[in-house]
Parts: sequence; C-alpha cells; structure tokens
Amino acid sequence: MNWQCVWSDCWEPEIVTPGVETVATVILVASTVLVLVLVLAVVSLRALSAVKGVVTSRRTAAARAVIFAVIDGDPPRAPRGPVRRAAVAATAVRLSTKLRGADRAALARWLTDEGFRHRATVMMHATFAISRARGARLFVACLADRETGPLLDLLHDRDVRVRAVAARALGECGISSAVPFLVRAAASHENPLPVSAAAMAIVHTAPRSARGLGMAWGSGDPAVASMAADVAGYLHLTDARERLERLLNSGEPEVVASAARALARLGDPRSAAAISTRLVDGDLPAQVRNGLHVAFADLHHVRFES
Amino acid sequence: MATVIVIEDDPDISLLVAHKLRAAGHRVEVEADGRAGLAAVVQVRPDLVVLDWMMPRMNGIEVCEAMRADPELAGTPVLMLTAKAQEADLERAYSVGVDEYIQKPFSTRELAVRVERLLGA
Amino acid sequence: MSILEVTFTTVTAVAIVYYAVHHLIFGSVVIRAALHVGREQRWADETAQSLTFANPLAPGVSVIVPAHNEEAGILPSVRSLLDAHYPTLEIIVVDDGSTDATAQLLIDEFELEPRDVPVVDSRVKQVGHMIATYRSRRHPGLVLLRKESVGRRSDAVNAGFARCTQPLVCMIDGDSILEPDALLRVAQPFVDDPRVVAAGGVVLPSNGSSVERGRVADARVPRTWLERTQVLEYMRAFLVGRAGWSASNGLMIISGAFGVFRREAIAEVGGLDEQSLAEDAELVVAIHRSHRARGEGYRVVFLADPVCWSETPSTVSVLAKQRRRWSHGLGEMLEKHRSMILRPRYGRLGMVTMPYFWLFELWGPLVEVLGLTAAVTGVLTGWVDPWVFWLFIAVSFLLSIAVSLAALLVEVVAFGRYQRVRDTSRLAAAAILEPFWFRPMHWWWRIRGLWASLRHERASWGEMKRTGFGGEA
Repeated sequence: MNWQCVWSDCWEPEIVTPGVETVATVILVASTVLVLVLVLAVVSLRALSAVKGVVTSRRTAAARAVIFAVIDGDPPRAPRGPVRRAAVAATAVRLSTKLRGADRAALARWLTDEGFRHRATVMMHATFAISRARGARLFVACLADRETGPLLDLLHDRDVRVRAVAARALGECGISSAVPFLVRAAASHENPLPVSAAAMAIVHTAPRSARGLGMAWGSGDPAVASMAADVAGYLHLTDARERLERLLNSGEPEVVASAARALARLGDPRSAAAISTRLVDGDLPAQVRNGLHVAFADLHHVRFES
Repeated sequence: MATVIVIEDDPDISLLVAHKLRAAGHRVEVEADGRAGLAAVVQVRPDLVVLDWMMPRMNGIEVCEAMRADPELAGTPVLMLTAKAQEADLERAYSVGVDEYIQKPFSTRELAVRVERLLGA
Repeated sequence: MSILEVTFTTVTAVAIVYYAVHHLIFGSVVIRAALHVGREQRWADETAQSLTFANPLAPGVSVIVPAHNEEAGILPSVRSLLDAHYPTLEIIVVDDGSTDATAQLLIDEFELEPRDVPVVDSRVKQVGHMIATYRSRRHPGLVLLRKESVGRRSDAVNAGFARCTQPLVCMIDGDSILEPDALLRVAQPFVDDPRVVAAGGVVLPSNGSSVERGRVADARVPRTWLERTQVLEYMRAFLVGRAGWSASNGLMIISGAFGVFRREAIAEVGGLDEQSLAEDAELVVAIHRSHRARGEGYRVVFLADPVCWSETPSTVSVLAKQRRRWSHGLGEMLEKHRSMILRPRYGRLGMVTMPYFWLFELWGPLVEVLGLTAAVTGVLTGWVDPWVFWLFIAVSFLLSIAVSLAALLVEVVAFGRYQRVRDTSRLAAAAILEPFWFRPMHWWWRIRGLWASLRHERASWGEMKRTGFGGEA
C-alpha cells in the first residue's frame, strides 16, 4: 500500500471504468431530482387540496340549496353540468338517508322527474364496482319501492362490497318482501352476501313474525342460522321461541350461543327448561356455557356472576 | 320570532334544520361541536336549543347537563335530535333534562311542530 | 490494487446493493400501498354511509386497555372509548401494578365499585396475581381489573382477555385516543368477510395535537424534530408499510397500540406470549401460523383510515429504550418462529415478509453501519473510488429520503390529516434531515437491541415518561 497515495489524486484505474462513473452520476442526479420533485409535490399538493376543498364545499353548498328548495316543496330544475349534477346526486343520497316521511318522498319524486332514477339504473350496470354501489344508493334515494328487481340482482354482484351496499339499500327501503332474497343471498355458496349485512338489512325491514325469516331457520350454514336467532331476539319476535329452543340443540356452538341470547331477550320463563337441558348435555365450549348460564339467570331476573 | 341555536356536527342536518327554522321566521345560529355550542348558548341565551348527541369535544348529554346546572339556562327548552334509538338512550336523555327527543332519520315537519310547541310552552 | 482497496470497495458495493434492494422493495411496497389506499379512498363515502346505518347486531367488541402508571393519560383515553360510536362495547382497563393514581382516578371518575368479573376463557393464562375487580355503576360495559405487575404488558392484556365476553377483541394502549368512528371502521372487515381474523388501523403520534375531552380536536405536527421524525416514521410504517403488506396478506405486525382480533383466533394460540417483548407481532405470526397449519382460509387486514392517536416518546433516552426493546423483541420473535422463514407453506409471510424483516429490519442497522464506515473510511483514505462513494450516497441517503417523501405524499393525497401547509413542509424537512441525525442514533439503538436478542437477554417493559395530553382541562 502506498501511503502517499491517501487522497484522491492517485486512483488506480483497474475497477474504475468510465461506465461506472456515468452510472453513478446518472443515479446521483436522478435521485436528487426525485427528492426535489417529491418535496415540491408534497407541499404543492397540500396547498392544492386546500383549494380543492374550498371548491368542493362551494359546490356542495349550491347542491344543498337545490335540495332544500325541493324539500320546501318549491322544486327548481336540476343543474345541467355533469359535475354539478353529480354533486346534487351525492347530496341527495346523503340527505335522503337522514330524512323520512313527506320530505323523503318529495326528494324521491323530484329525483325521478329529473332523470336521476334512470341514471341510477345505468350506473348499477357500470363496469366499476364503486359506480354500481353508488348507483344502488341513488336508486334507493329515488325510492323505487315497487321495482326492487335491479337491487335484488345486485345482491349477487361479483364484488362483495356492492352486494353489501345493495342489502343496505333494500333495508333502507324497508321492504319486507326482500327478506327471503336476503336470506338466500347470505346462504348462497357462490358470491355470498356477508351474513351481517343481511342481518342488518333484515332488521331494518322489520319483519313482524319469525316466519318472515323463512329458510334461515333451517339453514345448514351456522352463520345464517345464528343470524336468524340474533334478528329474532333483537326484534322481539315472540313467536320465534319454539324455533329458538330447537336451535339450542344445534351442534354448532355459535348457533347455541345466539339462540340462548335471543331467548334471554324474549324473556319467556318457559325457555329456562330448554336452556337447563342443554347445559346438562355438556361438551360445549366454556364461552357458550357461560352464555347459557347468563341467559338462564336473565330469565329468572337475577344477575349472573362467576 | 324566537332565537334558536342548532348544535349538530353533520352540516347536512344542521343546515337543513336552520333553513327550516329560518323559513318559520326564527333567528338561528349553528354550531358544529358541543363546546362551541355551549359557549354560544351561554352568550346568546336562546329561546330553544336543538341538540345532537354524538358530537366532537362535548356530547349533547354533557351540554344539556351543563345547561341544567346553570340556573339562568335551566329553563331553556332542549330538543334532542339523535340517531341513538335504544330505550336506554331515551331514558338517559330525559333524565338529564331534555324536553323533546326526535330520532334520526327525521321529518322536518315533525321537527317544526315540536319546535313550535316548545316555544309556545 | 491492494487488499484493503478490494475489501473496502467490496464492502461498500455490498452495502450499495443491499440499500438498492431494500429501497426497491420498499418502493414497490409504496406503489402497491398507494394503489391500495387510492382504491379504498374511492369507497370512503360508501363506508361512511354504512357506518351511519347503525347496526345493532354488529359483533360486540371488548376493548382491553393495559395501563401501567398512566395517570396522565388514562381518563381521556377511557372517555374516548365511552364516546366511541359502537353499538356493543365492553371496556376492560387493566391496571398493571401502577404505583400512581391510575386506578383511583378511574374509580372516582366513573363510579366504579368492587364486583366480581369471572374468567370466561381458561385457555389464556395470567401470571400476575389479581388484586381486585370493579364495574362501573354508571357505564354498564366498563370494567377495571387491578393486578400485580410481572413487568410485562402482555400479562396485563392476557388478564383482560381471559375475562372479556365479546366476539371481537381490541387492544389499545393506556395513553391512546381512538377517533370516534375508528372502532366501527376497524370492525367492518370482520362484518363483511368471515375469513378476517385480525385487523389493524393506523397509529399516529398525538404529540403536539390538541386533545380535548378524549378527542383529537386539531391534528398538528409536534414541536421538536425528534417527535416530528417519529410522525414521519409512523406514516412510513403504517400508511405505506402495512397497507402494502396487507394488500398481499403478508402483514406481520398489527400494532399493540391499535388492533382488533377475533377472540377465537387469540384464544386458540393461548393469548399473548407472556415471555415476548414484541408480543403484538408475535401474536399475529402465531395466528398466521395456526391458520396456515390447518390450511384454513384467513385474512389479516390493515385499514388506512381508522386512526388511534398515541403519545410517543419525547426524549432521546426514552426513545432509545423503546427502540432497543422493539429490536430486541423482533429478534426474539423471528428466532422463535424461524422454522417459518422461507417455507412456502407459510405463504407470503414466510417467503417475503419474515425474510424481509430479518434482513432489513433486524440486521439492517449493522449492515448499514458497516457499509457507511467502509464507504467513508474508504473515500478518505483513497481505498474506495469517489464514484463508488457518490453512488453509495445516492442510493442510501437520497433514496431513503425519497421513500419517506413518497409515504408523506400518500398521506397528503389520500387523507390530509395535517391540514396546515406549514406542518406538511415541516414533515418534508424532517424527511430530508432524518438520515443525517436520526438514523445514526436509530442504528445504534437497534444494534443494541439486536445484540440483546442474540444474547437472549430478558427484559421488561420500559417506563415511559408521559406528559399527558395538552389542552386537557
């Protein structure tokens, strides 16, 4: 080693080919540029999105003015530009879920008259899942009660989130005739509807009798059967008692737990016998046994501890 | 003409309520969170407060409790407009001194009727 | 060419390749994360809608809040949970041998009274002795457990876990503030897809933001560069790192500061590993493992919009201990599950995520320090060609800055949680400065952690000095 040659003025040329230098320069310059561009992008996009926020909120304010006029019973024409129309549709969809009665009906009638219902039907057949989902919600805002067909089709959509949106939309309409379709979609093997989405929708349609849940009671899918129990308990369907007591004998712990919970909610002391029989049978997970004990205690109006 | 303060964090609803009440000839102020709302109530001393439950910084129940604890505001009627739907929620609201309870989704006509009743009482 | 030159050039070249590979992988993760987050963002309106469609049947959640001397932050934390939008919620605060007023504050504030809280799952064991259990008179779902500390957070969580009754279990830290709809959002994937066994959300430092009555009222970037750099780190780790890994079902870590699990998934692996320092990562790996072993379809998901705000260390010494512990825990965890690494039957996790963490997270600092030392010494003594040195600088410093900025860009475009342009500029500046001052310290802490894990040292959870939340009345 030549110690006089410590600093960079006497490089040995073996590994230093011009190619390496060029590559190094290119990479150095490119990464520096990349950093600078990113810094600029970050700061300017932040500023830009502030501006965009102002524009959007103005557009929303204009859309609200239109919708409020509709609710007042003094309907204006819908704006023509596609961006403004989209803003009006989005605002109408948001507001329609927060309103009920005559306000909602007025909004739906206006949307239909202004061609939004037609647009919703077109969107429900769009390529992008998000458009189909938005279409479903716009369709419901138009309150197209009598023709739920398009929504029922979407229950079997290829995208799970669209299926869930369709179920929610049906729930919002409150059409109890949709319940069998929701149950079938939840139990389907191909493209199933998430059971909880079905449950939520069914609760919103509020069937008055346990019969309304139809084939869910006998479903081989434990998730669907326990959904039926949960819904019956939540809605206080007193005529579900015998069906629930039968579900207690299911081999699926999940179903047993739901049935016990639902029986406790119904609060009929006659169910206590069925629960205690099931407890004797044993071989249930600790969690479920605990649930049964709690339900049993509830039926006797005592608080269960340990 | 009465003065009403609407405390609600969803602008769709607060603006609609304000629009309806203004149309009925009232003076309306809108606040988007519980704390700002309470401050406005203390300052303005309105004839009625329309109150949401779930809000940032201070929830509707706390706002109502604070109002009832203040002798000058204890008599101001409060109408709660909320998505909370269980029996226990209703009990809790009335127990802190709410005068009327309207569930979302709501009807603007129902709201108008109840507001007039509270203002007339 | 002398041996020294060859050696130094080779070491530097290896470091360059190492950095290049690391940044290429991370770059691809950034792109995948950006696409993922972008796709999710388009659904933001629909999701918000589904959240307002309150579902009384949504699976109940038990939130476990382990607290060890958390008197500064426990009240806002519990208040944020009580105010959370969720239909069925059980809150189990576990006071793990606190010597301060943590328990008394809770008892007074929420009218807790001594009541029995039975163990409902005996598969999860608890080591520390239980002192007392309480329930709230005012809030039906609020439970306080006081136990003796064995010096580990995992034991506190297990104590809560053995007594929680809901089908989903959420773990957060005693100083965390959940955004009001965070639980609804993080529970949604469990609702939509029965295969989801675990879901994690974003954790961001609450330092500097104003917190009022259990909510982050105004998100701001903290005052010191140490804390700002951590904000950037969290963005990188959560928004980019986890979103990217989750998109390929290779997610390995769900932060202990904010994660939701199906209780059955935790119960079958026996709860948190009481011995582990990286108990959160350990748990996720164990869950992956048990499901893969059965060949069962499952998903571990990450969500980029529910946020949990958590206080992060504001002093160098506390941060040093924390990072040393993380690295130590990671080393232990990878050692424990080494049989999964590079085994195709463990899927992406075994083939990509775990080797990545082993090579770049655990051993990374050592390789990087060696590389940098070789490059600097080499160019000073003339043993390394200056062009090789510049290449090293470009690949190691500039690209790492670029990756941080890209993560920041994802945040700005998709969420914009920090609204002020000034705050964003500060974060960009922190990204540029980081390699020059923060990274060398971080290397040192992590190398010490690596060393501790190689020596199989046993350690307990570090004390964290908390200042509490600013703006809290």
